[in-house]
Amino acid sequence: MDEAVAVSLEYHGRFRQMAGADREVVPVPPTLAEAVSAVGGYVQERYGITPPYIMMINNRHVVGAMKHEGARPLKESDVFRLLPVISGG
Amino acid sequence: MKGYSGKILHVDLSTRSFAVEQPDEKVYRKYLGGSCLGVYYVMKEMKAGTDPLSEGNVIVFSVGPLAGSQISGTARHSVTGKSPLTGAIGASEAGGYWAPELKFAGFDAIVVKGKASGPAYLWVHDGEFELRDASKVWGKVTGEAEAIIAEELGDERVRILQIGPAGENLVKYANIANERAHFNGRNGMGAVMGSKNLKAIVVRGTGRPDFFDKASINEFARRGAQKVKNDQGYIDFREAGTNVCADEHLVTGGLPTRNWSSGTFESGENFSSQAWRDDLIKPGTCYACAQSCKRHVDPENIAGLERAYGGPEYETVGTCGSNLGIGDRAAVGRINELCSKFAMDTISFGGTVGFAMECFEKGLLTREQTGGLDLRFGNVDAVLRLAEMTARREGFGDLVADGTARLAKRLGPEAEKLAVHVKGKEFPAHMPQLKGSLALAYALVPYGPDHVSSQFDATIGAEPLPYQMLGIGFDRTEDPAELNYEKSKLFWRTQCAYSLFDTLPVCVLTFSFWTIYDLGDLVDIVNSATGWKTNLHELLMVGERRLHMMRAFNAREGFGIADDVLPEKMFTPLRGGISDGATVDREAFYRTRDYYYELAGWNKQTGIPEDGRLRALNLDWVIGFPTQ
Repeated sequence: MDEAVAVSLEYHGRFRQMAGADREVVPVPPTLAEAVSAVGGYVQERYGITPPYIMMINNRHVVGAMKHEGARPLKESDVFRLLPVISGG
Repeated sequence: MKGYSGKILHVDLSTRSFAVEQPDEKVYRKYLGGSCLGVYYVMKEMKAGTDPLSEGNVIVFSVGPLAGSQISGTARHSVTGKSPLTGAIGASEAGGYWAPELKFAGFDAIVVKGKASGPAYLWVHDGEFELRDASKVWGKVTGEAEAIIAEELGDERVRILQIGPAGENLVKYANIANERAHFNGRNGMGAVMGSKNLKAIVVRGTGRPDFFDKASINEFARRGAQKVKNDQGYIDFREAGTNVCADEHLVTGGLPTRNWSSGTFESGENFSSQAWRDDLIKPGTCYACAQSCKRHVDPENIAGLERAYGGPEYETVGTCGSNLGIGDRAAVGRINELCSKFAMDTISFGGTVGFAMECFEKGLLTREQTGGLDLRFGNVDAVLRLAEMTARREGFGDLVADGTARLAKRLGPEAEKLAVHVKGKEFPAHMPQLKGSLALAYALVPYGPDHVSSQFDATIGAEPLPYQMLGIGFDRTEDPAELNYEKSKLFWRTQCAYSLFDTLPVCVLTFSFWTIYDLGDLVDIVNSATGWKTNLHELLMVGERRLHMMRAFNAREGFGIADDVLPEKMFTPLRGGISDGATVDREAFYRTRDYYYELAGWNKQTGIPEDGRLRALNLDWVIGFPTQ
């Protein structure tokens, strides 16, 4: 990832136990759409975290954010938040 | 017939007469049990336009083919009747220990009509039944009544389903308790029992269900317990219970605050699962359930509280905590315990009090009207006092006991704009502004706003979509907050599944889309119990059947599309915090509601189920029911 951006991943609920941390910094591809996919793959491969979950970029859900600004370049201040959901959601 | 007792007990309280029906297996296969069997009997036996608190109302207590098994999440029973809160069909499920005991006592359901001449309780044991005098326990809170009845019957192992003072006083959202901490919480079914002078139904049995394949049932039970033991998600849920919901809402801004004016509460962190885990809560469970998600207040942490009354679920925390501007866990614990003792729904109580508090702060409700109560947000003492006044219908509590809609009508049009209810029923603590499909669910569920009637939006919020969602026709992600056609589909398809869950009935925290057992397991488990060789298609048709029956019942009682609406507050942007400005898009709501009618097969002008859809579901007898 030549143009990778180091963003923060913030874990909530049981994901904290699974990741062994509240937060970590990881390199991701430079645009939002690519980064969402990369983060999903990273947490699944490394910690076994799989959907359903809620993934937010800062204070917005990533699906909504991608519709409007999927191509936007990421900044190091961007935070991806991962929240578990229980049955129902 | 396997899995069932094969007997329905009919009780007429007015004449003190009993009848035992042995329905054909076809009836069981068509309506299964639980809520669907309940609405079937209500529709068959209740006349149109019946006052819900009159002796003409019919109330049904029912279990299904899985009750009494060792499989987690199967110890559920349904209570069905016409709701005094809404005037529509009322349905409510509960866990605990009563459902298996009814099966052990020899019955699949009890259908009650009429009114006893004085306080009475029904005693059902090993195929026998009798009405007994309940004068000694009338007026007692649930724990006291439980002890007196057990002593009178000389058996500590009786299982008691009972109302508290709220039900006796016809509080329109009175609930029904079993074991002090399990509730048929919503729709005021406790008031229906109270109107019939029926304090309790006590069951005890030594029989055991005759399952078709006992080894398979036991194997499913063992596998479920093993899964719970090893998975971090279940461990987390066991340790914090439904309060894990707060963690999500703290991050997304989805915690109803000060009568739904905001989704962010300044003391919200006090309600995180970690905070509850550290301070207050010890585990509890339902019969044979390995999940053990029930929480009990630890009396060492909150002086004066009794562990037996359980602890606040997330819904109570949201509606009686943040929604009232109360951020103290001990205070929420006390409100919860009072409501448990009086057997009163915390969701409707919290919703009504939150509404009254906003009216009070805006000058639409005066101190004179409240009888001197200072109802500003955050006043714990006032809420505790009001809980007791409501259950006993004293002073201003008499108005709060009638729920938000009736109180709003008394306070006038400006107040009505602040009232959060649909069909007269208050909202659970999940916000449609952030979970779009809930806008449809709250408007369209036949028994009013409900948080366990469909799968929420995050279900299809991340790639790769879970196999369970791919399996029912979803193939792309959606923003949870958005309200679009895909959300109509999400609501309708998963609503049919959840309707099935309420019909078997099984726990949605155990049998759902990614809980201990999935839909495939459910089919295998039903077959292991009954030997029917059924399939998912047939089972989902039962879930769908129930929804059409309820809709037809409601149409007969005067409900139509004009009642499938949302309160104005849902279209008013939230204030402050992460979800500042979030709202339900009005135009999207009406557009997706129309699409839902199409999916369901309900006429878009009248909201009545189309004849063709009813015929397809073998519900020919329901055609024309709305005009009877």
